Amino acid sequence: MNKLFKDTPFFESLLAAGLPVGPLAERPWPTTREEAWRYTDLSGLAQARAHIPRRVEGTLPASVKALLPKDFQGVVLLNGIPVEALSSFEEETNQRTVQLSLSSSGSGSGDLFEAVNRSAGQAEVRVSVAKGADLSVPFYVIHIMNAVGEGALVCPRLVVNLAEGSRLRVVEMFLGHEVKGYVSIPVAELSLADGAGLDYVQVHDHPPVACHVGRVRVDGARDSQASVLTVTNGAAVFRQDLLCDIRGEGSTVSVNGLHALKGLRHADSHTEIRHHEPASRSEQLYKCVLDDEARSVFNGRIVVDQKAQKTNSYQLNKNLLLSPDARVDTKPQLEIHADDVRCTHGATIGRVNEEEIFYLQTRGIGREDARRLLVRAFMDDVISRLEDPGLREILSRKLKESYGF
Amino acid sequence: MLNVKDLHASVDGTAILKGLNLSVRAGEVHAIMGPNGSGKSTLSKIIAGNPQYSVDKGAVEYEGSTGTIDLLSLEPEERAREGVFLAFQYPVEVPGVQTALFLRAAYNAVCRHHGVEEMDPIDFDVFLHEKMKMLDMDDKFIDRAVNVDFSGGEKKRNEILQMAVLNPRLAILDETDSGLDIDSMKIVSAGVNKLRNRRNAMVVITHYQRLLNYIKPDIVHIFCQGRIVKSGGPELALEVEERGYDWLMK
Repeated sequence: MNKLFKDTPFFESLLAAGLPVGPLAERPWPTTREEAWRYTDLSGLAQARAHIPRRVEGTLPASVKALLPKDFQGVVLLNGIPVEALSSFEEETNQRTVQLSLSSSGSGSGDLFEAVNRSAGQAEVRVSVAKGADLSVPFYVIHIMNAVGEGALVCPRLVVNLAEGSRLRVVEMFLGHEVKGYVSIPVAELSLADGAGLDYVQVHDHPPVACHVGRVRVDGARDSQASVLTVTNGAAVFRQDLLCDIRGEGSTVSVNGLHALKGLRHADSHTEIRHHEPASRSEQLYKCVLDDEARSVFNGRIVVDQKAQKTNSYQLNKNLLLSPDARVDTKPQLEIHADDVRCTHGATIGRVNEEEIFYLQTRGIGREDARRLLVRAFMDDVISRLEDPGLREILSRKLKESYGF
Repeated sequence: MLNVKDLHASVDGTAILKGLNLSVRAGEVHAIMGPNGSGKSTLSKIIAGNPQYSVDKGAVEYEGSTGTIDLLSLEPEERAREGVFLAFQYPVEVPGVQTALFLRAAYNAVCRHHGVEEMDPIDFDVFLHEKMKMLDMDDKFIDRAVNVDFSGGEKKRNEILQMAVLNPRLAILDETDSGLDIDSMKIVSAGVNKLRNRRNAMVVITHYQRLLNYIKPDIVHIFCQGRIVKSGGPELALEVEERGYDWLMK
């Protein structure tokens, strides 16, 4: 018999915390018997007794402060609650508005976790950019999880609306700080009007016992350009579903990711890109580095509607295994209903090239240093695509200082 | 500086070197010629420490910074830090590693080994550009990933640039002339000649006498079936060019 949401202690705990999850009771709880969750075991989450963290006073941890530009613009949330004293932005300029509110607990649309996110009714950050505005300074949304006690539930929501021809850079960070377990179930909704351009970067730094199930939706109109990058060190369970609807002709989405995993960490990226209109383009590059007993999953689905002729779609998943006990599952899924399209996909799984190591050694570079240099080069390939040099620097430091690569 | 004694070596169980003896002193340039498969490149790979080759018998002694050392007991990086350099016949492409960063990492690894202060990026940049000028190399070259999408000639020039940066005591040039047009060969040879001095030594492996017009050897050795079958002065190379190897293989 399939398990239902109401059968899980997790559901019980949400109900006990006063969340209106009643209508979700009969929803099925995902298990590894289901294709979409085959490699991501949520039985730990099912047992989690979640609680809603109370307001926690806090300062910006020094490690986070050191990472950010001095005059950063953005919102800082502690355990899902925006902290004005730590944030820094103008609510309204003639180019952009930023609204903070509680997410309306709407209907249970989307999958179970999107519905849980809504039911939680936690903070919503809404950024809207005016027609034609060009904002190249990144806007940061920083989630810091530092609640005491395990099982804190954090369900933030980010909504970005770009009006015609506008441009924006957004960096969303999920940082666990001196904390054990928590459950984060965030949703980001990014919508681009005609000719708009968005660079969206998600940076994760979770403790090994955290559980993160996130969702990103991208909706691109005609001639829009969306670029999404996810950089993660995984968690006990890390799952991201990224859904892109390309609804306009001539639009491009670039969806990239980096899993850099050690220990027993896990990261699962599911992407789904739907080309609805002709002559659009999508490109994906996911790179994964796995050490120890880490596990990485990539599932990339591309759907080309019948009328989406002249679609150009490219997908590549490259995996680097540093240990014999690491494991990768990778799967492309192409559903093409149009006949004049160009779709390519590929996946590679390999180890560090011994010939390259030897070459570096013959120049005096020690074996371990050589290996590290090559692993970093593999990862930098993803990061170097970012236009913003400050952001490249932040990610580079994160890889070294927090992820340990 | 280098003493190869009765060296027997194999790769994948196939014996390649069969009792090789070679002695190189500081200030000397030795040329090694010989037909394909005679073991020329194998010698270079064993000296550099390529793990794919196994030494079955014999010894390689080297005058290092602390006196005579058993070269074969050192890791490849330790040999490099002690001043052994191999210019690869087929330089390896290293995707994603910027040439400038690679060269500085290599240079500083050698500095650390000798307890010399490391060079910061700005000073290194000046130092590097001097060396590049010597080899008539384009500025953009060092921003590219090591050997990736380099032409054959660029790869070989990059090897000599690395040699110039690391300033080795013993350099082995493994068919550095292959893939070079005549102009490039002149530039590369001029670079090599500038690096030549009384304290270092070079072993130049080549198929063609032509290179030896530019890099003049003191001694020429002919390899055949894993051994040196004849040694002589520069005139030996000319003789081989004219007569081939057959007469030496009897």
